Amino acid sequence: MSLKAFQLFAGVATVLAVTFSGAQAQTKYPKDTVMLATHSSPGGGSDIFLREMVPHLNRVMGLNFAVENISGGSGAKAMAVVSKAKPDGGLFYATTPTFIYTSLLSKPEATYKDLEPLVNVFFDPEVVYTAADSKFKTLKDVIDHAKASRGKWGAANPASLERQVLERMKTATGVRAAVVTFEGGGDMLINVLNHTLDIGIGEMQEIRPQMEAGKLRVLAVMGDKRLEQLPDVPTAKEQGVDVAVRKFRGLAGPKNTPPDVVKAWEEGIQKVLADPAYKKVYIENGLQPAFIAHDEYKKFVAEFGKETEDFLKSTGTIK
Amino acid sequence: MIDLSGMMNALIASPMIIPAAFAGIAWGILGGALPGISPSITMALLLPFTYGADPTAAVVLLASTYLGAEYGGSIPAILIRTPGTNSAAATVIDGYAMKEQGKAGEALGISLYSTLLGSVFGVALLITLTQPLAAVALAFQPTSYVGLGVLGLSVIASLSGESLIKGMMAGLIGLMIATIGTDPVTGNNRFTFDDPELLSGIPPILVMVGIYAVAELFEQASQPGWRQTNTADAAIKMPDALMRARLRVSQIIGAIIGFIEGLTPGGGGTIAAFLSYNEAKRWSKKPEEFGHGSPEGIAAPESANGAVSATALIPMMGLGIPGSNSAAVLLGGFLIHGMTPGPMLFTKHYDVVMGLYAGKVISLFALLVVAYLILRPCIWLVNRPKHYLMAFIFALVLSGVYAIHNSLFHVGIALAFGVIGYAMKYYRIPTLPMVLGVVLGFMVESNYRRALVLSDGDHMTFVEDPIAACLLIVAFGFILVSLVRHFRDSMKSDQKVKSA
Amino acid sequence: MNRDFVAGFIGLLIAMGYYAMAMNIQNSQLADDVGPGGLPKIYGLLLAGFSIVLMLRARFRPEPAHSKQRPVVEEIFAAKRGLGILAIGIGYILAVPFLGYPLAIAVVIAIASLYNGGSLSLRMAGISLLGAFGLWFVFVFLLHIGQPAGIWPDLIEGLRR
Repeated sequence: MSLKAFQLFAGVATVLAVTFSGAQAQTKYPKDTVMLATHSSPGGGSDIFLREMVPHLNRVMGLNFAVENISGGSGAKAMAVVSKAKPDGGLFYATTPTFIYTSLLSKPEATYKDLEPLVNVFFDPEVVYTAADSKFKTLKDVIDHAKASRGKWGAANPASLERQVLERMKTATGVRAAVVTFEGGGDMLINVLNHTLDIGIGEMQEIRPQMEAGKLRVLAVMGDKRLEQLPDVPTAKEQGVDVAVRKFRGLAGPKNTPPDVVKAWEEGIQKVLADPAYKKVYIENGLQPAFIAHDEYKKFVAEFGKETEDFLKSTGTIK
Repeated sequence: MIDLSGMMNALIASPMIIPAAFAGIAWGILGGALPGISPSITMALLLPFTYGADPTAAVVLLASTYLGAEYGGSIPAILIRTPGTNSAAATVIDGYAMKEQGKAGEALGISLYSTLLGSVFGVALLITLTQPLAAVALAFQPTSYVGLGVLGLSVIASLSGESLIKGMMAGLIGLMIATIGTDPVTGNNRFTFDDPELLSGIPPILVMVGIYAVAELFEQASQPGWRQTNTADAAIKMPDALMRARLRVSQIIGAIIGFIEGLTPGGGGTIAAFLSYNEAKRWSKKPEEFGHGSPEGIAAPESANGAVSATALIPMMGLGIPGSNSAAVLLGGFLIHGMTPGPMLFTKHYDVVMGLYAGKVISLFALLVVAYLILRPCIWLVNRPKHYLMAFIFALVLSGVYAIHNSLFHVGIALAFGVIGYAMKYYRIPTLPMVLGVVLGFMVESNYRRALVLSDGDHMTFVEDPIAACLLIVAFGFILVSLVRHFRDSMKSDQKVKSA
Repeated sequence: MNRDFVAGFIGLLIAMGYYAMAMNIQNSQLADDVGPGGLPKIYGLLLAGFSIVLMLRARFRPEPAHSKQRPVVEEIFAAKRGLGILAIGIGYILAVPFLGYPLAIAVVIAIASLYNGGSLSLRMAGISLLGAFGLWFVFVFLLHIGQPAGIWPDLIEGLRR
């Protein structure tokens, strides 16, 4: 063994290691690239929400945002990954009620209680829809059909708010319907369009391209009041089905997110919601801006979790 | 239905399409050739750079990257037995065998030629028939996916080599690996040992890189006499007229299967590659050469990959529903420029669609040019002294496998599959069925259970769906034929043993 | 002992272990009729069945002759050399969090080429470092993969203070 060779090797290797191991200059925000994770598959609700927000957020916050799909277990995987991440502002998770349902229903190793809600961004109205050429014209038609034979209703994910809405519709109307779950919204949409399913439930933004093309018909809004964008579509309550939900869209990160990161986000989200270019996009998608600051959002999510837990227990879904 | 002047106008309006197509192909080949960097990651890495770009050039860049990555995966598959992408795993089998026979340049030529033909076919369909064909995607129900998956699994029967029982065992172990992770219907954790890294399952590329590349490194290190550096052709050699005639059938099979798989969301290129490999073997005049360096064994999966890279855009653009992760990234590319793919895309953003079509055509030329330029240095690299080559393959695998989820745990899994692959070779258990099980397991299980929920537990639902019924009949036909052939062969060998 | 018999035996062990785990999958109220454990149990049973058939066949039928078969002793010796590569890989996994990616991968290239018959020389050291730089350039610089940085950033931070 040649000593010279070894010395050269060791010397250059050390220089190399020091130079390239990624010691980065500090910016004001502790990270220059921020990952936004979602459990929804590409093309699903949260995925589109993030992908449409990211270019505007890039501009407003001056950081580089990237979307990562951590699918699997309706968010169980994503929650586990995010809860384990360093609280350095580098990774956040797009929260929807799904992460609360998954936490309660499937006992994953990390639950919504292991994450820290950051801020809320939107409320997202849920709508029930069917193929434009199907025989169902109102929600009542769907219920009547399910009473007479057996309904086939689709929800995008195994354990989700959408599934719960359908289960509640079943309880409220006393019908027997198969609730089928998929690997995300795009997957389910195909099965509504080809009449495998009677109805699907989802957010406006997921179905917008098909709705504009006249391939889908919206039967009911699952909220408290009709939508600005769809003034002619009655709510479920108006049609005699007493089910209404409020789907939130926000962000959550690992516990102990530093205050300066929180502050940057509270400012950034308010700015981006007021941004005219982004406003045009989200209004078109039927989203309602609903900024909730960090401290209140923590309470909001905790309350939502409590209500959901009570409901699931009362229906005997969980112990 | 071809609007040539529309495509020309789009090209004149945004001439950046041309450099975008070349850049996309080059970047795609780089990402595709690195094991662990999937086509969708390769594309996603470009997304931030497309924000400020001209929308048409941006989508052309992403679509060209897709084609480049699908092609790029075949280069390490042939040269170093390392599939760069999932869908290149079928190319490993005969591609590496040809390289071992000193025919690397020829194998690379066949793969380039076949990818090109497949994508010419795919692009032609994309340009002429996107809107009518998008409707075909709608014909696929959960039952149909079960049919498709079972058809894929039936390949195990004919690709098991000498022992059908061992092939079945390997296939079952593959299916078992696919059940690791969260349950598709209830979200329960299965076989995860409470490890969060296992929640989303074991990525198929880890299994493939492990049992092909890592096991080969173990094998090479354990050769008693060191194998000499292979004297491969110094340059890429495109197939001559005789070879082109021989490849024709396998390429047609590959292109058609690739076209169908691209069209069905959730199908994916990997299944197309394996299905077409098997069909090419069935219809070949020299089926015995498959697995031992058959040119058709490269041509079929590579033309399927080429076709998928174009036809996967059909449901994405026509319906707004991405059929694969790569198509989803392209969808993201449309969204960040304020365009929503779907039925209205063609009326609202006709010029961008035309530009994308023009870009797809240009990317075919780009592929040919770029591949010619980079293949010579690639061949030079694999002809370096063997100890360096092996060390670099190992370093490449360790680096690439980490990149999937930035996880050293995954590096460990790939090494473990190297051991498993080595052991399987020792016990003469075929590895191909295991790969098929891993690739198809989740799709079959989730759709099987979904279909039964829809039918209230009635298995007749699989016969009532005409697509599922056809696919299942074909699958069981294949299995039956393989079984008959298998028993006939084993009877013959029994007689030989007795007479000896 | 017959090799097929051992393969069948290993298969049977895998099947039994897997089936036992499948039995313990927790069921959910939202489950379908098949349930999360349904197909895994079938896979386990099928694998057990095939393994037993393979063992039986190996007992009652002579192993088919393989012309290229090496003696078992020689193969076990050969497998030991393969283990060396495995050890390098495991060593890499253990060392890279400390050494950082560029240095660790350079060491892997150096050791693996030594192990495969190369000789230590200035040239080899240079090639290892150049190769490590190339891999770093592609994976970290071009593709933005966050390969482990090792202790260096902390060390530099510590020195600065």
